[in-house]
Amino acid sequence: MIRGWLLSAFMVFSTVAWSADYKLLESLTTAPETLHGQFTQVKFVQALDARFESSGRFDYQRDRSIRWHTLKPIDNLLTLTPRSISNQQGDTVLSRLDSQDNPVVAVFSDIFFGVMTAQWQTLADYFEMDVQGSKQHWTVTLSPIDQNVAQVVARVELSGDELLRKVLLFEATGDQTTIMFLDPQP
Amino acid sequence: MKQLLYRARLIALLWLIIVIGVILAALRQGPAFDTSLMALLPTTEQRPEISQAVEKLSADFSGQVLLVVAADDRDIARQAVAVAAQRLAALSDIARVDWQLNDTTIMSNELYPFRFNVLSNTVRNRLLAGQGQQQYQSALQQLFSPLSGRALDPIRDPFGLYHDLQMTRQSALQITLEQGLFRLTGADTPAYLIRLSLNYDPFSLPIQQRVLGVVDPLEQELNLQGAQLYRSGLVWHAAAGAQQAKNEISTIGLGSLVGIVLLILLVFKRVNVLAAVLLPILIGCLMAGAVTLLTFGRIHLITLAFGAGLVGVSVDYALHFICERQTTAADRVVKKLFAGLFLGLASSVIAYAALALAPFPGLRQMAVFSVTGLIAAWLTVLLWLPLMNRKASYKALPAAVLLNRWRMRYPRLESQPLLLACIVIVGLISVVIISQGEPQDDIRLLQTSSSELLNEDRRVQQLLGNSSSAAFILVTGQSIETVLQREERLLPQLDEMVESSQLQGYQALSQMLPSLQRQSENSDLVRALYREYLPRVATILHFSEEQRQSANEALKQQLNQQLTPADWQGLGTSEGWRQLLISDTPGEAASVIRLKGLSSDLKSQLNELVNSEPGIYWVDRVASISDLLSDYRQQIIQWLLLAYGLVVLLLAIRYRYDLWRIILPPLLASLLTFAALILNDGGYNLFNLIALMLVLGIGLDMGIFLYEAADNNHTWLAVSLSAITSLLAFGLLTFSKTPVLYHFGIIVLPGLCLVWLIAPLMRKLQPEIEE
Repeated sequence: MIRGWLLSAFMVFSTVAWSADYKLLESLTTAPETLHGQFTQVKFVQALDARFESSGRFDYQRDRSIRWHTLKPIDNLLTLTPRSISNQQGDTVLSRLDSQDNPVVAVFSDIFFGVMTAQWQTLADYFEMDVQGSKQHWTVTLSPIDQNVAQVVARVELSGDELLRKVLLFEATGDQTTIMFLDPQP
Repeated sequence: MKQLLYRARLIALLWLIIVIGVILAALRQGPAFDTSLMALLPTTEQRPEISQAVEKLSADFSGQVLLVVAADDRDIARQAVAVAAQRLAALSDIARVDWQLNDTTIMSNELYPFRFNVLSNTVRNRLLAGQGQQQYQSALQQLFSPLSGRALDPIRDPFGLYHDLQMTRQSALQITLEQGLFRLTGADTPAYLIRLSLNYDPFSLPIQQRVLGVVDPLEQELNLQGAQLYRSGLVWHAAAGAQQAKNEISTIGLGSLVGIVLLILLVFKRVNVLAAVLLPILIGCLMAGAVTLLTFGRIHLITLAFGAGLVGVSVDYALHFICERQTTAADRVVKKLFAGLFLGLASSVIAYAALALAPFPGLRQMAVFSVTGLIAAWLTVLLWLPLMNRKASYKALPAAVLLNRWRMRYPRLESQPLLLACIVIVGLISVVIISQGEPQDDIRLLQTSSSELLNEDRRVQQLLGNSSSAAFILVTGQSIETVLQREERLLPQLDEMVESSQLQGYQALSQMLPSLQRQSENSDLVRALYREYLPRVATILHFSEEQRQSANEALKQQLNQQLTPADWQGLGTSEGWRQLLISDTPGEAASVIRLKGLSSDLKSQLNELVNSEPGIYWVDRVASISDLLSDYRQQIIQWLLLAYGLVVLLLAIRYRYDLWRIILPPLLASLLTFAALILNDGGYNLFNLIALMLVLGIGLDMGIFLYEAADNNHTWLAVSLSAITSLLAFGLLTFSKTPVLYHFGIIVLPGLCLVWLIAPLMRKLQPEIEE
């Protein structure tokens, strides 16, 4: 569940970090107040040996909310706030989860907001970071150090130029998700 | 004669052996003080299942010590937790310390096999409403969501039932695991939980000292590192209470003792008299404390305070002996005094023993303490004093002469009509004020813990999202199944209250462990869902024939896999929830539903709500204890009136028209004191009334003595000494910080002063004409 969220978070910084040290990453990145754009997502589900493609729009307001609006092939809106995750299909609210009562939700919410607002210190709670490449083309690899996260995520690869462009998420189950960001704007 | 002396010495020696034996036995057990008001009160409920639930909850609670380590910086906080764990390891022989968890994780898959029987509320309601379509949509959505989660198993769980269950499970506490540490999710700054489970009684003084000896320096150490430590748990309140008891015993207790010593020295100017007065008090108090400790396991602070009244009474025995000794030889004093002393003892013992008849554990303890203390002091006077100072002789005491001269110059009520009128008017005004007085039965007025301690406790509980343990819903039934079904019928109404924000939340067993009835309902719903929507899912997800079959196979295999209470209790996921199951004994199963964010409005609603279903009870400890205090207050008023009535009848036989001389001092003093209290505090409570009984008892004594020996200097001296020692013993309680003790003292101090001042007004003009 962490996937897309991590990514969109990484687009927050336009300057690329060159060190695995999150403190250096911190010094190089700032999160804009708002950001929006489009995405495409391809999910490979191993159990079915099949690919599922989707696309839509995203936007966020720092420290307040993140909206992930899938438009194709289904219309679905996911909204995250620091306290909750809600899932809406058209006018129907499919679910609304409270991160205070549920530790699983809390971990995801925590990571997600950490990423979105470039709180590398928070991310360092859960991942080890490895940064490679040049300013024009860089890759950050996140390997979970937290057992709870490791149960879900095997590895995350983020890459981009001055903005985050691509996220590769390898799940523990063998599933893979690729997300591409198009035309992000503050 | 010699033989007699020999026998007396033998009996005295025997008494000494008994005293030493009992005290040694008590010392071996170790002193333990109780300050909890709850311990004084009887079990409030007639229903055994309710008191069992209350007991179980408080037992769970009493050994729990919660520490929260917090800092602005995460690394500092985590480091502080490690330091704390290291220091707390010193307590490993008396407590289990939980501060990290490495092996298990919060996301175990234990419940996966039960996914068709244990459904999340949302899913169940959806399926009940025939909206299988929505579940199908939601499963699809998960496939396209960036937050799909670990449990995406499109073949064995194509509708994501387990994912929904996992995401909606609430944890018992607001904690999450952060790299092995328990992090509080409700805190703004990084905060971690450390839990100590004491294996011993938190009221035991050595246990308290051990825990404080580690945690107090730890707190200082952590503060130096920039971290804070917050505490919650009974042991802190118990330790603070014991500390307060110690302080008050050493200030108030010592104060009254020093006062009495100075008084005796001033009056008798002899050290050996002092020894004769103090020895019975000392033996009385020691024996009373030891026997109470041996009988009840611990002594309540309030028992000690009440027992201080013994000092005043047992001084009487010694004073009588000493006064009589002035004119009589040592070996004849006992014979002469025996009848009087015995009657005095018998009436006091009967009066105190009557306390034990009330269904009030606190009063029983006071009764045991007082009766033992009185008998021990009495025996000491009779057995030991004759053997001490056998040759000493006494002469008339200057203090007695002085006091008597002053008394004689005192106005007499009969010859002062103006004074009489004044007294009548003041008495009437008092009655009017008293009739306006409001009773105060709220137990919180009597809270002994300091507000800082209470606030700190509340803060920790808030961070943890803990629900109240003082008010809850109790669900009972023949079996766990019945209990769970009853809960399930009740929960929709609680959900409504949460929905309308009246209630912040609740924790119920059936949220985690549905009844078997509900589980089979659920599996029927899932079967219907599969029948209708599996073909569609299979088409959209491009299932092969083989995959379609395995999906059906998985359903078939696990559709009937029910989560039984026994299974559930063995799972890690029941951690933190098991305590809700109070009893799983067949025939008397019971669970509690704990509630968060209770208001008084809500309480009355809940009270009504539970009446709709048999076997469900609303338990509010605070309210029921306040009710109980109010009950006892009314009973005490009746006792007080009855006591006055009986005394009037009894004394009327002997004193006829002179009755008023004896009744008026304690009555008037009580009225004035009580009226003053109501003017000052705005109300009165049970403990004020118990104190009034003491004023009556001691006041009557004074009146009777004065009347009986109207012209005797030494009687007035003895009465005055007795009044002053009682004042020193009881009255100093006015300065106690323990509310209950204060409520005693605030009545006894002015009450006895007034009795002493009013009593001489009542004397007859020509006492020698007395019949």
